[in-house]
This record gives sequence, C-alpha cells and structure tokens, in this order.
Amino acid sequence: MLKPFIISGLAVGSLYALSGVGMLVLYRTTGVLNLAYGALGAMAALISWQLLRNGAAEWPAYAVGVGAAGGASLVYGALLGPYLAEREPVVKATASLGFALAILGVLNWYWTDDTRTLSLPTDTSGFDLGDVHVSTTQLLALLLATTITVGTALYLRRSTTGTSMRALADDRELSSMLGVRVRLIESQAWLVSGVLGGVSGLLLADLTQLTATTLTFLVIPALAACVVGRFRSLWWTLFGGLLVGVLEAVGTPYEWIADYRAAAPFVVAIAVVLYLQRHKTVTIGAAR
Amino acid sequence: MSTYLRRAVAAAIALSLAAALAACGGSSGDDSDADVGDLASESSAVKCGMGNGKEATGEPIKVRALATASGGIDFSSAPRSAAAFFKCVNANGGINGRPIDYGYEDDALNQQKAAQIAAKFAADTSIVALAGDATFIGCGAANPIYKKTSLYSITGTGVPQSCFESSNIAPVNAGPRMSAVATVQYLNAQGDASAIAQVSNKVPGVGDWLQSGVEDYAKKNGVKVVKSILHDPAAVDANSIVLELKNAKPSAVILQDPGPMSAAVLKAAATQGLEDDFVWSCLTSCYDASFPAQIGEQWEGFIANAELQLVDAKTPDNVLWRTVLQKYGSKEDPRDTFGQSGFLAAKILTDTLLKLEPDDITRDTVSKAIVGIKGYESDILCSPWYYGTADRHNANHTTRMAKVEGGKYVELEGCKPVEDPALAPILEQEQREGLAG
Repeated sequence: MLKPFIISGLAVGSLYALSGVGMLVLYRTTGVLNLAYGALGAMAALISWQLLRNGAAEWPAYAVGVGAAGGASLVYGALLGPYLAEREPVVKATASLGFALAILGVLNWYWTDDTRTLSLPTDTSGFDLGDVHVSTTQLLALLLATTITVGTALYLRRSTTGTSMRALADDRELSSMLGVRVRLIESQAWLVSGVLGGVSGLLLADLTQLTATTLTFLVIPALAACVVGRFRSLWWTLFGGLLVGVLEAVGTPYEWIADYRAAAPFVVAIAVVLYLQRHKTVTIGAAR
Repeated sequence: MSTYLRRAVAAAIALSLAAALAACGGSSGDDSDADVGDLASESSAVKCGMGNGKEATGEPIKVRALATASGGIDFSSAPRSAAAFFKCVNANGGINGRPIDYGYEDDALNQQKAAQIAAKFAADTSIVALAGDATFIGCGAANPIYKKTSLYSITGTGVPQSCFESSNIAPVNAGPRMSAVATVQYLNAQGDASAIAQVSNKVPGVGDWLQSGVEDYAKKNGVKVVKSILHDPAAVDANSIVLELKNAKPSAVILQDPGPMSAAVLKAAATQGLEDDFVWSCLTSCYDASFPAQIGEQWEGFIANAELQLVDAKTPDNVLWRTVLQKYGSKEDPRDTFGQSGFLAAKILTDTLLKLEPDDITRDTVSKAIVGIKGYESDILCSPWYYGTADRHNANHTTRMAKVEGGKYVELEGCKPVEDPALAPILEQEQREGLAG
C-alpha cells in the first residue's frame, strides 16, 4: 500500500537531497548557509518558463534559466562574499536571507500568481512499477541526486580545486598564505551552488508547483537534509533529503498524521540534533 | 579582484541580464485581449457612469478598497478593474461633475495590517464607501470596525467564510462554497456523482467551509463523498494527493485549491494516466483564460465553475469591462472573474452614487443608499444583486459551468441557482424583503 507513496517521496526527496548537496558545497567552502538557495531555483524555473512561453527552444531555455541562477549566485558571492568572510555564520546566513527576500520580491512582482506549469520533456516517458507509473523526470531526479553526490565527493577529494575548497573550509587565512586563490575558489563554489540550485528548481517546479513562494521555501527540507549530514557529510545529506521526502509522502494515507506531513523536515532535523547530543551532559548552575 | 574573477563576474552579470531581458520579451501573464477580438466594433464609445465624455472637475468623492496584493497571494485584480472603471467614470462626467478619488491599500496577507488599514478608512470620514475590495484575510477583522463607523463595502472578491458573514461587507462574487456546491450539483445532474472526492487546503474558514458545503449538499441529495482531502497549504507534493485520490476510486474529483496547486494536481494525475479514469472538475479558482493552456491538451473537457459571466462573453457589461481595461487599465490587469467582480462592484457604487444629490454625498447618505440597493441587474451576474441589512451577504448564488474545449473555456451550462442548504435563511430574507427584484 505504501509503495506508490515511497516512490513519489523518493523523487521529491532526491531533489531535497540535491538542494542539500548544493548548499553544503557552498557551506563547506565559504561558511555561508545560503538561504536564498530555493529562491535561485525559483528564478531558474520562472525564467525558463517565460522563455518557453516566448517561443524559445526547450534546452536553451532551461540552460538560460539555470545559467541565470548560477550567475546571480556568483554575483552575490563575488561582490558580498569578501565583506562577509570574517563575520559569524549567523550574519552570513542572515545576509543570504536578505538576498532570498530580494529575489522573491522581484519574482512575485514580475510573475504574479497566475497558474503556470513547467513540463520537462522527460515527463511523457516512463515505466510502470506495479500499479504506479514512474516518470523519467522522477527517475532522473534520483539519478541526478546520486550522481551529483558521488561526483561532488570525488571532486572535493581528488581535484586541486576540491582540495583548495576543503582547505578554505578548514582555515581561510592559512589557505590564503599557502597560495590558494581564495576569492576565485569561493566564486567557483557560489557558481556551482547556484547552478545546482537552478537545476533543483527546474525539477522541483516540474514535480511540484511553479510558484516563486513555494520554490523559495523548499530551502527548508534542503536545510533538514544538511542537518542530517551534520553540515559535513555529502552522503548523509543525500540520505537526509531522501528521508524527508519519503516521510512526507508516506504520511499521506494515514489520516492521523497526514495533517502534519509538512512538519517532516523539522521532525527529522530535531530528531538528528537530539540524537547527536545524546552523550552530552547538560549542567544547570545558578549564578551567584 | 583578479582579472580572472572580474571576467567571471562580468560574464555572470551579462548572463543574468540577458536572461532577464529575454524573459521580459513577453507579457507576464495571459492577459491579452485576443480572446475577445476587436472590442471597438462591439461598443462604439466607452460610456461609463454619466457617459457624457466630459472630464469631471468638481470636488472629489473619496472611495477606497482593502486588498491582498502581496505576501504570497496577489488578489488585486478586483481593485485594479475597479480603478480602471472609476477612471472611465471620471472621464465621462464623474458623479454629476464630481470625480471619484479611488485607491486601494495592500494588507500584505497580514491580519494586523488589514485591521490597521480598516481602522484608517473608518476614521477618515471623507471616505464615503469602499468598493472592489479583495482581501484574503481582512474581512473578519475589518467588519466590526466598519460596523462601528457605518462604513459599507461593496466587495469585489470574497474568499473566506468571514467575507460572506459580515454585516458591512457584501461580495459581488459567489464565493468558493457556492462554487463547490454548484460543481457537485452539476456532477450530480450529469450522473457523475456516485462517488465524489474533493481536494482543498486547510486554511481555516476556506477549505473546511467549502468542503462542508459539498458534504451538506451530498447528505441532502443522496450523493456519496468518498474522500475529502484537506492538505496543508504548505504541502507541495501533488503526486501523493493524486495517489490518495486513486486509492479512493471516485467517480468525480472536485479540485478546490488555488489555480497553481490544482494545476500541479492535474499534472501529477496526467503522469499517472488518470485523465479519463474520473471526471475532473474545479472551482472558479481554475476559471482563468490562461489555465487551459497551462494544463495541456490532455485536459480537454475539464470542468470549472464560473461565479460570474464567462470572461470572453460579448454581452454589454462584459464588453464594457474589457474595453475599460483596454482604455483605462493596463495590459497586465488580469482579465479574470475577480477582475469582473471588481468592475461590477465599482459600477454598482457608481450607479448608486448617481442617484444621490451631488451636494449631499456623505458617508451617511452613501451608506443609506448602499444598504438600499435592491435588484441590481447586469449581464455579468446570473441574478439580480442586492445589499440589504443582514449579518450575512451572499446575494450572488447563481452560477455557470464552463469546460475546456480547443484550449479555451466555453460555456457548458448556463445560469443555475446553487442548492446549498445553508442558503435557506438568505433565500427567505430575499423573498420576505423582495431584495432580488
């Protein structure tokens, strides 16, 4: 009975995971938790939709949408990154929240809340798994999340840029003294993260809704995925995204829990935080 | 900044700008007037209000509206159409020479802000009335304030229950509950209501209210509701909703969400190949010119309720609305049911004001005249509209049905009174006081 819901949850969950991985790449390089990640995805999806509507060919339209998200991310990172580099993580995250609201404002201003749908060419093909039809888009989401996670893990471990990114994450000053081109590497991370955000946004718009607000707030499950990965592990982030997606979906047929499905990211994040704290002793002392 | 990086940033800026410019090449919505053809030949001159073609120059009459225009929902099509109509009135002699000073304020989907705006309107006694309002969250907070200061609103679009259960607020549209009952009623008449499934969101006073309307009708008429899904408004996974519908094996599905969510459900249903398994229908929220193109060709025959006249109808008031938007509005003003309702609210107020002595237009005289509106006829409505004194207002309870044919909506069924059991006290009052003309 749950199989169809698990399949559906895995598809959306893989996009949460993909978003989580994109956020994590940036966080591990620059220390910025980019809360504008969902908004960049919304921007890619809406620009692609508009270009398609204006008669553009499919793949160039998607490429421009994703490119614009990457571009906007790069511009923000390159222009504001240096000013934020030495600030506390919470300041960096809050600044990105401003970026998210600015993007959301522009998107809502230009694309009012008319009905829009984005259908990728992969929607029309697929296969049956029991009594459920799995579209190629759903399969693509899962494959993409896994491939990007493997690819990113290998890239960070093996390539020179990846090593530089890891070095930056450990110590920015020291890396700089050792000859790592800090700003270049950081900008690359912003670009890659923005592009991944754009791709996730396109796929999410296809599998969920094409509205700026909905896509912008999909940063929440992506954050939960990062929490599962403790903001370090790409593999656990992948798992976290899938877990949130599946939990959200399998809650649907049970009436007693269906109302609380949207809480799945928070439940997962809280459960992980509590689990990680299990050996810590909390001492409460009175101030004298 | 290194040369390499500078180049990269420049390229990024260029790419973002190019994408934005390319996207700007077209209009942001399906709001052209292609669906109605040449309007000029339909109405030789745009005549609003007095229709004398003379610019009104007297002392302005202040009229305002409260609307939700931001915060995730843009509901401003009603006041935008109202604004265009008042501009047309002012260019045609105004109210016996006095122009209407009209504007709307955005509550940004924030109840506190809505209450503040309502209080501001109430305190400003130069505001004689409100028209074309469309607030998603403000009716409940605003009504007690309006009541205390005897300010009346001829609301354009009402959605939540509170907009229809207020003494000083009367919407021109029928509301989602009427729309939902009208849809199940149509399905029942067609023999498709053996097992109804309905999907809405859990916004209090909206989803629960309209779903109980379908259930009340079902109970009275022997219709079986096999599944009522009230999902979290934040839930995005339409596929799970479709799988749930599939498990319920309904004969017909009534989608009751805003257009974008209903379109997402239809898209997920098409992926599962369920287009022909049940009869799919929706409320007026899906009745918008751009909807058929967005859901795709596989949804030919998709049914939607229309709370007002079809937006492309060539009837006099409807043509006037479209012409007014062409001449006094903008290309971006939505040509949808809620735009129609705003236009009509403005027209009702204008016709009411024209009956008053131009020197004696105050809140008191206007309020008295508004409450006295009876049997107001327009081809945009199915039955005459009225205001009257009551703690509930739902004068519009006769609607039409439309279906998608050849990529656009066409009329499926003409005006039919909605048989919502909860209308009983309203119908009784109508008869007792002769309100509907």
